[in-house]
Amino acid sequence: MLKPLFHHPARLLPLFLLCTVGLSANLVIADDGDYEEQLTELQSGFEYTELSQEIAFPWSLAVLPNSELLVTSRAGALWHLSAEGIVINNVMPELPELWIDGQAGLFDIALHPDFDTEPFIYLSYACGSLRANTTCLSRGHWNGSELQDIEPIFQAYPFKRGSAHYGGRIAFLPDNTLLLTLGDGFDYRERAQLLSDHLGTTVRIELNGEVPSDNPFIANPKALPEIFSYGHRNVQGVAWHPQLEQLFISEHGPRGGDEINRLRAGGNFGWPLITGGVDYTGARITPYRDLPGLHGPEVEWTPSIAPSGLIVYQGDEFSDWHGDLLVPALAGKQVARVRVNDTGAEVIDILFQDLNARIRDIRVEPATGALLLLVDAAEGKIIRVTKK
Amino acid sequence: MRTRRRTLSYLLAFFPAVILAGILGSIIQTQFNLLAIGQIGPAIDFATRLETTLYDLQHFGPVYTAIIFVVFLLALPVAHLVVRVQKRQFYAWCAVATAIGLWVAFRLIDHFAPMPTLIAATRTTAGTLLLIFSSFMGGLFYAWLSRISRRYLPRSRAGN
Repeated sequence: MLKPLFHHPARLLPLFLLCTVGLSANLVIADDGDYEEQLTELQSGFEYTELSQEIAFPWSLAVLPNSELLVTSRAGALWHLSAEGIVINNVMPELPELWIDGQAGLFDIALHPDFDTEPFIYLSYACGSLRANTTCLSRGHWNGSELQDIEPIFQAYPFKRGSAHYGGRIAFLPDNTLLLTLGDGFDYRERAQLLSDHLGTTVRIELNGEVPSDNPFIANPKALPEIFSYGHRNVQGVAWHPQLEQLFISEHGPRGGDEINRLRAGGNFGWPLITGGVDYTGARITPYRDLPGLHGPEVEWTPSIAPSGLIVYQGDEFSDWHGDLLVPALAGKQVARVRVNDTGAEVIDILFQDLNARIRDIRVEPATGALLLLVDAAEGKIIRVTKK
Repeated sequence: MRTRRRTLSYLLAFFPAVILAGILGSIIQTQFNLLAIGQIGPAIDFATRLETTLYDLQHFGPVYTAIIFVVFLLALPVAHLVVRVQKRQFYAWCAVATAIGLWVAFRLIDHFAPMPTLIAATRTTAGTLLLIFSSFMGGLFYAWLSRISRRYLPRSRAGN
């Protein structure tokens, strides 16, 4: 019965395709981890307003003091929108060696903490080429309509191959320093345990790029002085909690093992020695879930939701949420509301699942407390969320 | 009838060879991962190594074996074609074809998959070569088993 197969090789094609499709089914989850429906009821108490739907793969957003918006797209454009979402301008900032490919591109945008008097804008992005790239940070002067005098202030060491796991989120700390999150470059995960390079770390620098004299590894001659914490995979969200006076980060795990971590100066957060996830192929990355001296997560998601940002909500629109972490998710197509205190954290609500959208970032409109969601898609959207 | 017996011997050898290469590759991949973890963390004791190896056989093994299956399905007919022309070195051509086939598969997978490298052990040249070795051994086993099994398959009366 099998003989005709070998006499007519074309008949093997369906079998081959079957295998290929079967294999693909295993691999397709690789981008952001697999996700199964979790909890919950769909939210119905919100009003959604689409401000914009023409920005391809928006990555981050900053609200200017006059309520206008600046939005980065991974493709490298900086969009200047009115408060209502009408496009005022769309420019490609002249970022040194901007590298766009795969996960690489233009990432976060942040306004100087004293933007009224020092109108600097900080942009994180991938820089270099396919064979040699890394995460870079530049700042430029905003003159009200465009970014001028762009100067690089930090470049992660070393250059590496492949276009994945850059981190790239920015947070300002109360002492006027800046925290930049980084990734492990995917193929270099073991180096997240080293202090001799920036892979898999967060770095803390002054607003002009200099190294603060009180960084945790400043006295260690074998460590790079910018490093603030290490043992990270791909930190996609960071926020300062003003009431708890602590930093929180959201981090992509592999297949499972997404995390919220309470960041500590000098802390080792364990990747890849400890994780709740496994590799995309199903293989174990490590036999350990926890080890002495390594910080475990405050919250873990297995299966993955791909947490892609983080804010500490402070606003009037949703006053019950004051001090809660809001964590947007790509694969999870939701925003998780996480209540934190001095000792722990727990997911207390899952929001906006009815949008059925990959949410890349979330920001608060300072004047009203309304939320701005960035939807990750070729026809990306900015959605303003208020109470119904 | 002789052709039927030969084809049957190839089919009987194919699946055990795929499974052997899949198991071998899974074990190699696990040891590479554990080696990397052991270099940055605590030494891996035997029980942990065994438990992780078995876990990977169960969870990574099927994925890797599926890749091997497709590779063998495409590479072994090529080896047979070459042998038909050259009329010798059947073992060598089967082993080389499956080894090269797996290397090509790694390149294709990493080109199309969203991450730079799908199988962690192939991040290094040594790991890649050892996994290719698993495919090489699978190809060799296929050649050996197909020859052996042909001896023991009953001859058809019509063919004699």
